[in-house]
Amino acid sequence: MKSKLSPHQLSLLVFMNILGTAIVFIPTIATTYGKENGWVSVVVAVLVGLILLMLYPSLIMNGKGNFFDRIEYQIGSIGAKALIVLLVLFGFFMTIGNIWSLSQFISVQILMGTPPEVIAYTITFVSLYAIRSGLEVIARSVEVFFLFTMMSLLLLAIFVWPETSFDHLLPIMQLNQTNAFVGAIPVLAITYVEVVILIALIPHVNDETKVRKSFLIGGALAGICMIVVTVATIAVIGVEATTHYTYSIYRLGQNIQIAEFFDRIEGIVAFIWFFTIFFKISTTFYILMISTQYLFKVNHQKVFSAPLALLLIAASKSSLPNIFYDFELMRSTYLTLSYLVMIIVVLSIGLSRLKRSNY
Amino acid sequence: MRTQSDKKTQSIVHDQLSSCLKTNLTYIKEQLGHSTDLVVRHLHIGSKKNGMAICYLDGLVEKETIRDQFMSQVKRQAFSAKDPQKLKEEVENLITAVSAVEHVRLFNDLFKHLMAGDSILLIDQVKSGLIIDTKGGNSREIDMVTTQEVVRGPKEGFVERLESNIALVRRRLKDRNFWLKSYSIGTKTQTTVVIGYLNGIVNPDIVKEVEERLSRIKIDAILESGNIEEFIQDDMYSPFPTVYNSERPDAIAAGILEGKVAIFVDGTPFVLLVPTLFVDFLKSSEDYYQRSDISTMIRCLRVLAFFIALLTPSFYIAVTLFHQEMLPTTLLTSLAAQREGIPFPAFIEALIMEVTFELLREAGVRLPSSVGSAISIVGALVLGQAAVEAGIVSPMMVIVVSFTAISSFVFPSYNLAISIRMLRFVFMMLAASFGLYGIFTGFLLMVFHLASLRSFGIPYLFPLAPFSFSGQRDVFWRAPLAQSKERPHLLSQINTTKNQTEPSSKKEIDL
Repeated sequence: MKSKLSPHQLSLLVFMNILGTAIVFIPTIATTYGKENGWVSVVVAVLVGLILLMLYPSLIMNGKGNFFDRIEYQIGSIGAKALIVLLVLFGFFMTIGNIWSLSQFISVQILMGTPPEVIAYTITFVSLYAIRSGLEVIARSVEVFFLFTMMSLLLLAIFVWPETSFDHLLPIMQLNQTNAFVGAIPVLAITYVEVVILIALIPHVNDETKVRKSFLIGGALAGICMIVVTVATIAVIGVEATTHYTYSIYRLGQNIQIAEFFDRIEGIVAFIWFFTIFFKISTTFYILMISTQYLFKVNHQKVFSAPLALLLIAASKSSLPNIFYDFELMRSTYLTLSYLVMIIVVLSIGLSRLKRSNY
Repeated sequence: MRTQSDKKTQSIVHDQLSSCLKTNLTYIKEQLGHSTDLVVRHLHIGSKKNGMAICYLDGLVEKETIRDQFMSQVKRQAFSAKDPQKLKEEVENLITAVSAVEHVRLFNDLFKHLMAGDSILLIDQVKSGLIIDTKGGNSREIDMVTTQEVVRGPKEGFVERLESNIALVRRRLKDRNFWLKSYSIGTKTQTTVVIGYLNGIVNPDIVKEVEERLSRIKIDAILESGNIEEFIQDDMYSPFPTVYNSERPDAIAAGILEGKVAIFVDGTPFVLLVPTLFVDFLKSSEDYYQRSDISTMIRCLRVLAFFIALLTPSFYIAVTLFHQEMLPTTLLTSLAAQREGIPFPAFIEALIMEVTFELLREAGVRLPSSVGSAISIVGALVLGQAAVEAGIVSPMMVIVVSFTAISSFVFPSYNLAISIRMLRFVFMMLAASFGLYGIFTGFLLMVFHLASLRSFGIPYLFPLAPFSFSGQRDVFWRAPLAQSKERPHLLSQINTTKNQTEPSSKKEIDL
């Protein structure tokens, strides 16, 4: 049975995939480079990111059959295999990064004392259940959790409002202007560049004419959320603190005050991050599953799901020693890898265009 | 058995009725094991003694019909014909005036009708019998509903008799497109199961699917619609019900009007409705009889109650065990003071109280109503109060459990309340081991499970996921009737217009 996505569901998946991980790390990363202009980095990243989102679907918009048939049709069999191996590696790397950063976040901030391995196990097995239920189930659940995520984001924005002081944002674009734009590079790497992997889902969409629009809607919505969160973080806790804290948005959540009774309900933030990152893990895991199925030419779709889950757990535990290394990684290896993948994908779009115009 | 009777009467072959009246009667009695409820009455035809006999099962028949309209008529009539075949025709003509008549030639059919409450008229020298429709006997009168009570709306509920139930719905749907189809399921019980739908509105594929699933059932007994439900539901091992049941004729009629299929089962006041969506269990038929704003508020309350009933104890456990920093300081200190002397960890404490409550609730259902109030006093007052004073549970825990209990009674549907009660314990365990993270994970798993469910091909979470904008008119927000002009699209794509009333304009009346 071929699972179907509606354009609406696709844009929500794009939204979740951009915000997952990013929503927590973006304020810290952007501010590290741009200082009080950190939010400008995010704005720049969002604008560039939207252009990228316009480009991605071009690779497989034309043609029939599933994702892999289309890629083969566009760039030939060998090229397709190479590209998919690259995407699989990228997706694998991305997933273990996400699993491990979520596990560490939870074991450091929410469940003090619980070993992160346990969290990694549970999160991987829950997403294993999700991907074995199929893409449609993931897509429908995204629709349910999108509501929760948006509600939590709104609540966060509203509740920290009394604490904001826009002096923190001043002076606007007077000091280190270059860094504000440089900051956009790592921000892009963990948001819009990563979404390239979602092109594998395009053939599942039941109305392909709307694919580009759903990519843009999801991207724009996620962009707005990131900008709002970054501005709020800088405005509430200041530049110093934002760069200092690993999870600055979580620190932001601790500033929530409602009626001088409820304070420190940073659980709301955990909600946002948990749901977005979970769907990011599930979607990439799903794409990993169907890609490995294609690469190894196996008939049954779910054959690789359980082994992949175990690999993911083991790899996430062994490749990323601690949270400080996460930032190191995001700045170096991961950055290079993600841009490499993005450039190769964009190049192959150009290649296929060129090839077709020659005929 | 068979060979014995063959030897004695020498003439029952291939299950066919014999021409000898006495042989036939003996065979019937023997086959029924001389059961005492079999009544055989002999009649004379003119001068001929014992030329005719009528047999029926006592209690299943309308005795008045037999006595007044049939026996007396036959006795009074002077039959002219001497030929048995002609005589039969004369008798048939006579009975047709008062009741439906059929012919029967095989004993198998004869017994089926006899069991269903028909009377069998046998005439000597005739190789077939007449079946007279005399179904009747005692059954419960149409009464108030007991499970889904409403403040405003019809009060009558279904009863155990199939014919009355169908009539209750038919009375509300005076449309020739309300079609019924009957099945007989259960090799021993031969329970009549009737499906009803609105032709031209229902999706024919759903009807076909229901028919196929019903015809697949091979079982010896169907005693309640729950038996049917277990066979036709989509997911056997889901805690969530995928078949709706109701004893309210108006709820069933409303469901049929949306393009659903109703399944009536003889012998139970609970009628099934498929396909069923998750949100159906949060709706009460009263929502449509009250004004739209009130219903919207009540529906939001139900959604709130859903989360409270499902998650409050687990939140209590998670917060007291793992996330004390989330509580305001004053609340935290008072909680800590309360829990000071309690020997159990929060999870055990919650488990004790929840299990106690479930026990009390179950006892309250089984007990005769006269003792019920005594139990509630012992349970609620004595146990709750004493447990707190003895220092076994904290007062906060008692509040949490009562709050949960009250919320779980808010749902109009008993089915969903059961699912929530089961899942509550799962969530409590998750909260005890992983705190809030455990609750999130459990909630994710629950939504994944709900999203993977389908009821007769319709996604269970529709119209929330897949999201349908037009479907939102009847989920949390009950749109004013003037604004809801279409039936739910996913159920049926044919004839979706349900309402063409123009919203009434605000006119001032000149006096």
